[in-house]
Amino acid sequence: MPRTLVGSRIRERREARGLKQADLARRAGISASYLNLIEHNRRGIAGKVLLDIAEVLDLEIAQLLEGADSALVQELQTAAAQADNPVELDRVEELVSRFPGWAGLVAKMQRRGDQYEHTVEALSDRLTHDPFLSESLHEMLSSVTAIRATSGILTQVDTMEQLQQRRFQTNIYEESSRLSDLSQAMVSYFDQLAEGGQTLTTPLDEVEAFLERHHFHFADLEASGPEMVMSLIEQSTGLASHSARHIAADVLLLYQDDAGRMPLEPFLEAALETGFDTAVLAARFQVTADAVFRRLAFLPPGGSLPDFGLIVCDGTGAVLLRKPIPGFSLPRYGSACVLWPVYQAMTRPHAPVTAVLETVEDRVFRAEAMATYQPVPGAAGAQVVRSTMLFHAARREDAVIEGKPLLSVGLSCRICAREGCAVRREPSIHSAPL
Amino acid sequence: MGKHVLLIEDEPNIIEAISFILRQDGWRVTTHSDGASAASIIEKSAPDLLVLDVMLPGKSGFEILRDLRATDATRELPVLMLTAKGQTKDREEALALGVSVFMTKPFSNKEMLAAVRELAS
Repeated sequence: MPRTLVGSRIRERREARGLKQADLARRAGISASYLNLIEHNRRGIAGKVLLDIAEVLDLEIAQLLEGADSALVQELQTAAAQADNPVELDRVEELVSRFPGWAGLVAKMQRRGDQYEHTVEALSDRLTHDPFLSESLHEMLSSVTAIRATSGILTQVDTMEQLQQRRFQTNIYEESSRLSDLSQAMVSYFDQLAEGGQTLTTPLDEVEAFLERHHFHFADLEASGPEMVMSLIEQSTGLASHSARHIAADVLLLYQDDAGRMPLEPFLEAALETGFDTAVLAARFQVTADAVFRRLAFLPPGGSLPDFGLIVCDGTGAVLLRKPIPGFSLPRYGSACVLWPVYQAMTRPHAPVTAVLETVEDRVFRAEAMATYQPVPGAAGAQVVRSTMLFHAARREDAVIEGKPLLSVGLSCRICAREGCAVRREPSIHSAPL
Repeated sequence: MGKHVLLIEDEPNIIEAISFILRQDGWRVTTHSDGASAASIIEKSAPDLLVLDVMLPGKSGFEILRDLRATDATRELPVLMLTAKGQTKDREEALALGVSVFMTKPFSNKEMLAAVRELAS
């Protein structure tokens, strides 16, 4: 935060403590008129005067210089970037220091808007790809078709053998019962959705919830054998289906293998030392870059480590594993933005692809991806490609540092409002034209 | 005896209703419910017209249509495709593969009959 605004912060803190300007000036050993100039940001402040004022206000100097409100400023800047009308961006810090209540309210509304947007994205994704809904709708339409055709016959055909007539009546009864069961199943499904916010419909959903419960880190697997994987899975009540346990076992065995090749302590040390340079880490630990991506995404949560997100897809685009992070949603069932590096990497396996991404909400992320060929035993020499993408929040300047233009991306066409996109597949629910 | 319509559909009650409607209209109707063996049935029975569902066990209606259009004997066979998936991309895919008429479920008996009559004329 620029020092010119330290004055505003001093005034705000003074007023919060109920101190008069003259009192603070006297206790800090300066004149009231000089403090007045400082508080209106007309005089710079540093050195002893700053120290004395901080002491009287019982604050650390850093609190006055940096401000505890930088996160709020950032949130307001994000909100302003999405505004249609011109916003006085150069006065955002003044807004925060002079009207913290209003600033907080705007930031809260921004967060709420983001939440709603993510809910819309998740629901749209679910409605489009949820296997339960897709199958149910197909069955409902089949039943309705049978009922419509059969009832049409019964009302339109005058002469019909009694046996045939009875058969058609039975068919209508059967189909209406099926429709009734389907309706109940769907109502119960939506009730569950409304109550829990989340409905686990696929084995991958179960695995994802399991990983989230463990914050994508398993201290017990850092130095243990495969029996620990099985024990973790057996102890988990959330992995209900056989398929989910099978997928979870694959994920955890890979985790364990990665942990063996990149032991936590030396890996963390090297990661911090290299500034999370995945190429250097891969060379140092003699592993492929995608293994480093997984290891970084599955580090212990918290601390000073960046929040890393991860997505793993196969050649069909099907999502095999995902770890979303705030601001960067991931599709549940594939069909994401084709510009994402995770897909770009599939065009040249074993070559890393990096990009600085700008989302529709004007958030910036750095992403790197690598695809690898996976052998398929007993598949007549066929190979499958699997692509892994690691990503984390970044700054616009990172694109300059990388010497690449910002890459504008979305989540998926259906819910992406970006206009004039050259790779749009289908219209958006936000009505962006094809 | 009327022209031969082969109906490939896996929902028994839809099969029964469509068969009845077409027979009432003078068509000779045979039916089949499996996608995987559909090609050989079409080849053997040589229908004048095919009513084909999209979602079939073993092989989808799209795949069957693709094979039909790649075979000399069935390249021109009129195909009425029925689907519960009414999305634009499905319609576009069917048209690209050479479908004669694409109809979304649920449809009225009148619509279906009109489409069959038009295809056979």
